[in-house]
Amino acid sequence: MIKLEHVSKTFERDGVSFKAVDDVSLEIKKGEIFGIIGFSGAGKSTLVRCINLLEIPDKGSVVSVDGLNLTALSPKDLRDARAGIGMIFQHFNLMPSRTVLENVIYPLSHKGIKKDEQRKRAFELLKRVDLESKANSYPSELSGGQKQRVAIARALASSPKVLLCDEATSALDPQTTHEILGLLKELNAELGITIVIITHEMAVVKDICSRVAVLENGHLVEQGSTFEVFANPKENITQNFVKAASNLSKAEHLSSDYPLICDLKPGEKFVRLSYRGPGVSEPLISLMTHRFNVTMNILYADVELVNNSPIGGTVGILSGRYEDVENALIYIAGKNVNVEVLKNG
Amino acid sequence: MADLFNTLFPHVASKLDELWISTLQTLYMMFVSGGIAFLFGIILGVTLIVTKQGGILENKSVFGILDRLINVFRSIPFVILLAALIPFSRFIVGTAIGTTGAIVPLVVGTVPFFSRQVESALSNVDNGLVEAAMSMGSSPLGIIFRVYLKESIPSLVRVSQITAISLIGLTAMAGAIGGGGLGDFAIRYGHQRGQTDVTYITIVVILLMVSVIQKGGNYIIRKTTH
Repeated sequence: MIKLEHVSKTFERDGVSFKAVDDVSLEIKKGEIFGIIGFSGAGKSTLVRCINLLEIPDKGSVVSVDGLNLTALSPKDLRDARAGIGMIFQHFNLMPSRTVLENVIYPLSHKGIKKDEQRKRAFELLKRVDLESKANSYPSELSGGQKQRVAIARALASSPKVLLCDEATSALDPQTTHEILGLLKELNAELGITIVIITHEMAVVKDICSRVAVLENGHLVEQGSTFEVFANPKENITQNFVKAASNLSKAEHLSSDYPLICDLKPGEKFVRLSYRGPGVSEPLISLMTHRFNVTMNILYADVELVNNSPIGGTVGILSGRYEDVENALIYIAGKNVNVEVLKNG
Repeated sequence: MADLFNTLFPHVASKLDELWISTLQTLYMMFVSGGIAFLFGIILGVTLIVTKQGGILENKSVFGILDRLINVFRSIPFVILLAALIPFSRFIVGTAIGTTGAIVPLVVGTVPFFSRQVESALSNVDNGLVEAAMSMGSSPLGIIFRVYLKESIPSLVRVSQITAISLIGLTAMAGAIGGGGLGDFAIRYGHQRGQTDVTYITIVVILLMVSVIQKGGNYIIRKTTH
């Protein structure tokens, strides 16, 4: 559907060059929700602009919608191709002098479509995003979430096959973010539209992306299914993202911040157990404590569902006879759980 | 009422016809040179915005030449411009004197100033809007009309007000080359013959013009700001 091959983009300002995107190749499949995650300055925004050629790559090719090689098109054909790729932005970019309806009409006008046809289509789109009642309001009268929904309606006006979202939820509060992501999920399911999401928030990726690519300093460092990347983060930066999104990382600070809780008796172990792969349905901790006659004092447990598989784990203090504790850990490690002993008593 | 008028403005009553004609001459110069300068100013201002670094039609040489040309013309005092443009005026409109002869220097004197004002008005348009329009497949011409110009109507009106008011000042100076109009009227009677009341009545008429420009402009700004 979308194929980037060895795409590079360098900016030059005042003689200093800066490689924003460095030899990135990736393939986004038809109908999927693909996430590109990275910290600010990683080159995410430049990369997403290379998909509809708002930024022309210095090197590499971009093959998009229907096998069209965008990098080889004439300016006129490129403009037509761009209309087939919707885009929404962090700051919405609605035209302040136009009403909501006129904003949605923008991409429809000057295309040889009749005026009342344009209005009808715009109204349908506003209905789709649940904002019919605001048709005659101006953007300045809307909340952030409403503005983004208008922007989505506008992006959908030319019936695109791809929707690019550039930090589309970064300016919104968590509740509104959730609503917008819900809307995107719905559009993906109902219209089959391919969605590419650029974000620095792991929560966004976790919520709706089926696959994810991690970008660092313009390089693509890791990519795969969201679950894979989350459960077994290989690169440092990916691990940082995962840790930032989970409470389990608090375990490291626990022994220094709350020494009393972690005051281990001889034989006790301070452990972190994290799920490694899909299919954790057994009550592992309960089984372990029964079978090996050990006790587990749970300090933290954080389990989230990513694409219907649990991810996360438990931090606690395991106590019992020395051998029992050892055997319990061997048992649980055999159940595809990553065991880390953070401190021995 | 009539008595009061005659007491306050003893020399005006006999010149009401001439005052009227002078006012029409000033309006003529304003509208013709203002209209032409508006068109050129918009074109040049837009050209500056789209050709500058990072613009949608970035072009270093066009921007560089235009930028310098505008700076050169802006730095010539208008009175000197009036004299310097006499041969050029003859070539363009066939005469260098009278209200028509004043049109060319008025346009040349106004366009550089107005172009800069248009440039600054358009530069306030959020780059994100331009980017959004590009992502929707708008052509450069579409972006100029449907984003840059359409989205900056209130600021364009504001800078047009400023320019129109300074243009009134320039038309008065154009009286120096026999351009006619209110400036000429005030100098001939008010200054040269010491009929100060004529000068004052001219000021009143010009004040009226300025306030019409202010009020009208503000009305459009109010209607187009959301």
